[in-house]
Amino acid sequence: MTADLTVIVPAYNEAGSVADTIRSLQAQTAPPREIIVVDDCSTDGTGGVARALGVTVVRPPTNTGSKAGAQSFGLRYVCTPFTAAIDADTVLAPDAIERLLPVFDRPRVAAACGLVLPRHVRSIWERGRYIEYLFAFTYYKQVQECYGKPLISSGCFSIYRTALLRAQQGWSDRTLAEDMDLTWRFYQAGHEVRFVPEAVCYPIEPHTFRLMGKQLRRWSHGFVQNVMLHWRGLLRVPFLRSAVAVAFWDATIAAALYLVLLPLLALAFKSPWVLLGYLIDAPVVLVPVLVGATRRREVLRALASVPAFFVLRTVNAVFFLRAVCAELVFGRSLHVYEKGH
Amino acid sequence: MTVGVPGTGIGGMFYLVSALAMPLRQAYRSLRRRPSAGWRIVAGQSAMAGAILAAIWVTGWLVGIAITASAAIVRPPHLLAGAHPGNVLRTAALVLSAATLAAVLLGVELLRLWVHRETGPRLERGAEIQITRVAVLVVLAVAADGTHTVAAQNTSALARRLARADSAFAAGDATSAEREYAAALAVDPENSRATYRLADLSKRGDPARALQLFRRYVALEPSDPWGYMALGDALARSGSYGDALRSYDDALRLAPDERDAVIGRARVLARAGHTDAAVADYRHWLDANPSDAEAWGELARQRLRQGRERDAALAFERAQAIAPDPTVARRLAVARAAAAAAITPLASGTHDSDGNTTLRLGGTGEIASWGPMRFGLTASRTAIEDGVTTTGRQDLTLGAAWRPGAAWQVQASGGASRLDAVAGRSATILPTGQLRARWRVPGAGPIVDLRARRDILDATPLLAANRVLRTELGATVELPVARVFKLRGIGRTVALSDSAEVNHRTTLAGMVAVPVTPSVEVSAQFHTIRFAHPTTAGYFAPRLVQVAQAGSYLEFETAQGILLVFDIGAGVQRVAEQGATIGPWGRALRLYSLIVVPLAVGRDLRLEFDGEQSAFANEVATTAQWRYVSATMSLRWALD
Repeated sequence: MTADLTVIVPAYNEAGSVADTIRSLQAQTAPPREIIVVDDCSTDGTGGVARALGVTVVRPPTNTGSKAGAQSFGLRYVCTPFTAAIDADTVLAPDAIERLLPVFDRPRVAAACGLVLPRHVRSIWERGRYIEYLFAFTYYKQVQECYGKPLISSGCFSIYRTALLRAQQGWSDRTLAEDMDLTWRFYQAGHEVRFVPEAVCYPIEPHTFRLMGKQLRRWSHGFVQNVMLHWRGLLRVPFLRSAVAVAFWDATIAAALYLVLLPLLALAFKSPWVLLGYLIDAPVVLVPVLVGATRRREVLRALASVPAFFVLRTVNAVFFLRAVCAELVFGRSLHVYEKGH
Repeated sequence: MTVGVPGTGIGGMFYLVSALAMPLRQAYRSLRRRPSAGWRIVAGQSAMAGAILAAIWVTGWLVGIAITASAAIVRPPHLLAGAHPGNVLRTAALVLSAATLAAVLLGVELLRLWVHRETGPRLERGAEIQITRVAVLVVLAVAADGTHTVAAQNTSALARRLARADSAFAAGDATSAEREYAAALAVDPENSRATYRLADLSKRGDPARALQLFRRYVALEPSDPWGYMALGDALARSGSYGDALRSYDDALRLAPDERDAVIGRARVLARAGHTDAAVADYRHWLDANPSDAEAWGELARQRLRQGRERDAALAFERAQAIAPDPTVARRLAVARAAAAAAITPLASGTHDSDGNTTLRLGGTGEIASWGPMRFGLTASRTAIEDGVTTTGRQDLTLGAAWRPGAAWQVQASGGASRLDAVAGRSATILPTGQLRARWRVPGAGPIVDLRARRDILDATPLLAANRVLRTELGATVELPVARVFKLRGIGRTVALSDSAEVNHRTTLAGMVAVPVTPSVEVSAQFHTIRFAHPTTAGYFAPRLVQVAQAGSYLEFETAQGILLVFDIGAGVQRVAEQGATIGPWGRALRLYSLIVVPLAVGRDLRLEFDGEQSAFANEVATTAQWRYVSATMSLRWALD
């Protein structure tokens, strides 16, 4: 059964990974009607690799400068009622599209996304991200879904209703988190976004600190930019306004407390016991992680990766604090789209 | 992506409470027959929340046991004394995060009520309109994907609409053109010409719509540099300077030598306050295109913002030589006068409620500006009297001002003051001076202002007789927050010395300022001032002064070029004298105004008025109930 769906794959110098992405799309239990690879003026033969696998390849006249730009360019060629966007380093579980499409039976659903897990879990950064995803997609995102307001329809793989996507004029590059921007625009326009945990995708996550830094820089600035852009509109969306406020608090005040206050208190009280504060939330993290890992029969892998999560969390806090200072205090908005993963 | 710091902060508590509330929500929705997540998922999430609670409890218990067991080795913190450490830790963590979460959620709800306090019904209608618009677009999109016959009919209708719109546009009938282009877009939402023209027509009346349409045009025609330029201009008008610059960068990638792209980018930089970068862009363009009179004129205006009047005059001269223009000629004359040598005679006087009066007569001579530097020499004579005693001082000061770039200002002066013989003391010469550096991050960023000075207190004959010297170090830091308000902090330390003693004054002040318009700012301020000890030198030195004030700063320029500035403050103040408790709050008022009247090009009359009514105004106050007025008149006469 072919899905009435076009997949847009934005790709800039992805010759090493785009073939896996295309093959996973072609192997779907509900294969898409068309796969469009937007070769964003790559210099490594990405277009040739994609063309050899029999998909449509389009190329803008100049590099669009961002994933959003490439995706919006690809949207012009879509003729199906549903559009999927998938990163060129992401592969799908064979039934991902089939699992995701039924939620669009409700006409108000504008976008849907699935569970995200790193394809490789080897370096400390991939392990940290693995735990972060297990935690977020098993706990936070499921609660958001139950309240009808997933915070983001993930940029690495989501399906959209084409007409509503076009009504929002596609993806915008005004922020560095185009997926968050689009999701929040859908909510403000009165549409629904869904999360389907059974639809699984596997992106390649940053495996070095340099790549992770680029990604975290993009994400942290993108989050702050979106909060600044949408805060008035979000106040009208129940649950989402609370979830965003809590996320913003955790990205700013909690991050500052996490990095600065506990060591200062330890020094002030001259007692290392204060540093136990770092462990006090360990069960909050471990319980959902172990639940998610048990379902996937990956408990040992998860337990081995937990320490890496605490390292990544600290790095995360630094990047979010820097982004908040740059965007809110110094007015230095970051808009250069640096590709990491 | 995952935002925040998962686990820490209040995110964990928020989702814990949300998960625990899910069964109630599910039951409610089931009863009302509304779509819901299903009991299986609700049960799973609730069980997970329960497990998290249990795990927190167990962790607290284990940590408590560990602390108790190792108490002999490492001393636990005082806050755990007398209680089971595990109980204290887990209870404190839960209570603290629950209270913080409640405060944040309450804050969000209050913000929502405040932001949408008067627009509730209208917003509901707005949401409906938006949904309707989306539905219309969906219908249009479906119609566009319809049968070949329908498409052919649409093509014909579109051509007719566009022809009518173009005719109206060419005839200058903006209303009809706007209506026809909108109708054309309803037939073909991806018609780029109609999108661009409609955006262009919407620029004045509906800038948000224009911005949206220009974005759409760029998506439809990504290889057209003019689209990026138009989008850049629309973004700059909306204050999104970073996005505007990126849009111009896109245009320059497509058309690197296009004048409108280069100059347009420089204009955005200038508008954003990146004056040095704008000057660099203009100069780069003018190096290759020296006959562009308009660009010379714009470069000159940026040079004036940099404080480089001579360079501005040279640029205006180039513009005027290429294309004579009366406006440019007038600006050239103003720039030449600003750069020229000048003399400024001045007269000023002060009077306070204790009967002290000063009268100062003098003048300043400036030599013509030399690149970013300017030098001047000031000489003055001041008479000081209190109805009984009369004395005086003479001052000679050499000053220099340096503007290395638009972001930096440095001023320095140094000289000497000769105090007349009085009350048995012979005439004395004392060195005085001042150094001030001001730095502003380009693009309305933070400001740092540092100042050091040494001068003589001369408000009363007694102060002059005691030769009280003031040596001050001060800093002001201003942080703009989210383009909504500014936080300003002021710190100053002053040493007041005379032949008998040295006293110290410390001032700390914080204020929140909200720019209401570009020329009006309101603020709330709090100051504390402390003196180290009492004095007999003749100035008022209380132990502590606290001032809370609301202030407003207003700046206007009339059509005739008259500049009016008012800085007004009204509030309360309380004073604690040395060794005494703090007194009651009393009234504190202040007013500063500046009026600059251009009499002719290069001749500016400047009037300043200053007044205070409060228990304590500054260290020259001699009693605890004090009023003070001062007036200064000067005339800058350029020798061009």
